[in-house]
Amino acid sequence: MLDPAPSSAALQPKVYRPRALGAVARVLVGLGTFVAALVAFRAVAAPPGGSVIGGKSEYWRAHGHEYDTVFLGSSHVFRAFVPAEFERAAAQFGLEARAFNFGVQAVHLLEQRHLLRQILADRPGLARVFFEYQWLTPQIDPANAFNPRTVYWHDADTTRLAVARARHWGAELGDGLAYVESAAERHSVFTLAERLLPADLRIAQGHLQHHLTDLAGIGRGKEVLRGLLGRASGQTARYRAQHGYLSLEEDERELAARGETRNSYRARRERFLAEQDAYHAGIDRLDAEAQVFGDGDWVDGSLTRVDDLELMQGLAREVAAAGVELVLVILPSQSANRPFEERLMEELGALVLRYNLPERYPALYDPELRWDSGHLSAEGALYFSRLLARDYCAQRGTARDGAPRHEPAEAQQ
Amino acid sequence: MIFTEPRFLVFFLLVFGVHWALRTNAARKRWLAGVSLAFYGAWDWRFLGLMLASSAIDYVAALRIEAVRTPRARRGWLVLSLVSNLGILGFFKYYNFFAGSAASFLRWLGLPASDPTLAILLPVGISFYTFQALSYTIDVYRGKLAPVRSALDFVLFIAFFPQLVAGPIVRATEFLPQLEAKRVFARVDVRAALTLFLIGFVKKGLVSDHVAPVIEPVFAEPGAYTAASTWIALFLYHVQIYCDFSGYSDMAIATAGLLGYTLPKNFDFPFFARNISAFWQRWHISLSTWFRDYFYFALGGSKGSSLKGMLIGSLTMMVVGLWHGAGWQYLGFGVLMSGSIIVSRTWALVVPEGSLLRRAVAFLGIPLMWWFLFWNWILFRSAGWESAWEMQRIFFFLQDGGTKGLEASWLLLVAGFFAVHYAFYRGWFRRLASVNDWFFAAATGAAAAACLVFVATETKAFIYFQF
Repeated sequence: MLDPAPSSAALQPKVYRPRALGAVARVLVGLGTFVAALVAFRAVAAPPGGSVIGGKSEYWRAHGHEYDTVFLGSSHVFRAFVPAEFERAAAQFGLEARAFNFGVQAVHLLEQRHLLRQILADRPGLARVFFEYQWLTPQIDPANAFNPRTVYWHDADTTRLAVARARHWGAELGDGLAYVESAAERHSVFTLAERLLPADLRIAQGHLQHHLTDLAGIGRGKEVLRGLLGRASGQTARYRAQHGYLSLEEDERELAARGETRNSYRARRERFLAEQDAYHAGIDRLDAEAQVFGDGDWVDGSLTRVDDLELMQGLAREVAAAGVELVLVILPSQSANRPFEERLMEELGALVLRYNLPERYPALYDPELRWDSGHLSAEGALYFSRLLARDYCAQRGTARDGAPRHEPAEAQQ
Repeated sequence: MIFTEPRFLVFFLLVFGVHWALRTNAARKRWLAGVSLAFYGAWDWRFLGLMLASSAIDYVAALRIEAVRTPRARRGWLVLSLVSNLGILGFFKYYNFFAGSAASFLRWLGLPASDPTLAILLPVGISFYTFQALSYTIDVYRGKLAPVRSALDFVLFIAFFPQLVAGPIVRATEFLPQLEAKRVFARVDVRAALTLFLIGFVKKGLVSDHVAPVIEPVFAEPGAYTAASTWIALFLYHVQIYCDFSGYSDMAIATAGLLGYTLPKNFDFPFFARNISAFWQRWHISLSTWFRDYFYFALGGSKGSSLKGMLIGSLTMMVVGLWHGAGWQYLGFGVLMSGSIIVSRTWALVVPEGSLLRRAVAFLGIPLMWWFLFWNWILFRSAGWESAWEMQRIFFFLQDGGTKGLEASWLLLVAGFFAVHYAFYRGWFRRLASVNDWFFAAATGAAAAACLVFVATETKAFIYFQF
């Protein structure tokens, strides 16, 4: 640095005088190839949503025709529904089914609806869809605002719906619909400007931004490369083996084998084991109170949670129009909204199966059958799958009498 | 707001459109000053007042330097500017470090001391705009520049958004004259600016941001990784820091260029330098020349004996190290650079030119420089002194810290990057500049689409923002 630096050679301007029309034409050519390239990239890209959803979608695209039953939901489903066990139990009750577990970690309701539409589009001959009930969170968690998982489901239709529901709940809740700000941008002038808007409009503009990001395919490079190279996500074998299911115990073993230290599953399990009193108190509340939002379920406390009957009814109509049976399943979670659940059962227009009833299904809340307060263990998943098969068949009139027994894991082998 | 974020592209399209639609130079400058302040406020509006206050002091000080008659009064106004600028910089950038270090030292002596409770936030870009402002008052004091009368011009010089938060550090002598005349769009080299912007975008969004999450765990926990992985991480960081910072500079120069303004070049293929002096002539040029002109020369480094020059040069490098950040690792970085100046100057004095030894070292110049830079990167990138120490141990003695590993295939990315970089260095792509406008428009459209699709989804702040 102590010798003279090379002379400044910043952009050396030169006189450049294209004629106006020619310049406009060249800009249009540039924009045209820009759009054409974006369309081409989108066309060749592998399924979006990152490795978790992309892998499952990829498998479904290739193998969806092998199944007539799908259970779609969050990690609560992913860890709770054992397709092979469901098939075995359903066969005992007179129903032949080929089931797939389409549970994906941390799926939100709108994302789940988007996936449902994809599933129906890829597999029009599906017989039934078990759909985990989830409340709606109209806001987007700012921490995940530009995560591919948040962006990919913002197609035109889902974005329109998200905006409409944000506007609806904005009118309904007023100040109750909090707008969640990005902590990193709390002191930005843009945040100051945004604060002048009502919460529903701010939420709506967030969804629109995501739609534009999705439309342009921003950040989908890995999927484009995978699509171009014809490489699978590497998850196919995993999903084929157990038809989409993977127990937390197996995941834990895989992570341990890889030397993964940041293991959130293990941390949740340890917390669950250490806080048994709180867990049992939560279960007591489920039996005693009409509305409970338990800590054990995945929830970002900053996001508003609403039970949206209109949205659920629209979904039921859509599935019925596709000639598929929708079965809404309320999983054995730590949350309940009894008045709303009863309205669902009466007004949804589809079968609703409830399992968040500790008094009725004590085994599902037995700590022995749970990995943590929100998820079932491998043994609990087997039990739940049999229970679901029995209840579904009973509702459809194919079941014989008798509830499945909870047997030790060794006896089920 | 990062240059690779889609919202910056929207912001810039608006700025660009309105800028060229306005008819008078004054209106354009008002517009650019306004959007520059908004751009800065996009990080934290609370520091706008700080930047404007420090600008106001320099603006007035420069006018007074010209107005007053006596050398003492002139010096007094210069000192006011220096003290206020360096005082603000020192307080916001170094208070936590010095107060914390003092407390630790007192505890080491067995005296009761608690860590400072005043947590000072670092205003983004403060090191850059402070140095820019200092160059202005010093140049006015030296008589190289007449003070600017228009407060608007001065605010725009300090706050011009392309270079505001991470440089290049623009001298008043380079920028203020550009504000006098109305910019003419016909003189803007749109092709060169767009190409440079895309190159910068690729460096930052497609290389640096993809590499960052790969090496973060290695620097965070070096003791858990194998020696081979440590070396791979260092190669990757070598690429990352260059792409991150030079990518920012490229985009800054390009955006300024599209608005009709010229910013100085900040990088000139530094990794092909064969010695430390050559490296600093090619790396962060606007900073190294700033220190050369306002520190090294001011202390008389270019006059007197070789020993004096060497010592002042060495001190300059120490300060350059601390300019980068408040931390012992930055001081260590400065010490290393400083030592390298002494070694290279001594080498030049002791080893005869043309000797076999000199030719051998010159032949090995680039690998040696890389090895030395890797050592510096460890200090520069590590989260603290302990992890830096651990990583140096692995770096020098090639002992595995742990069993975790990085894929060796990452070296393919490094090799690919340097293959392309070398092609640019040799000018092999220059003939592409002569393609016709239609082809250029189509290729730019497709390249822009590819940039958006392949950009890393987790946009990392530019490394130099923290300085």
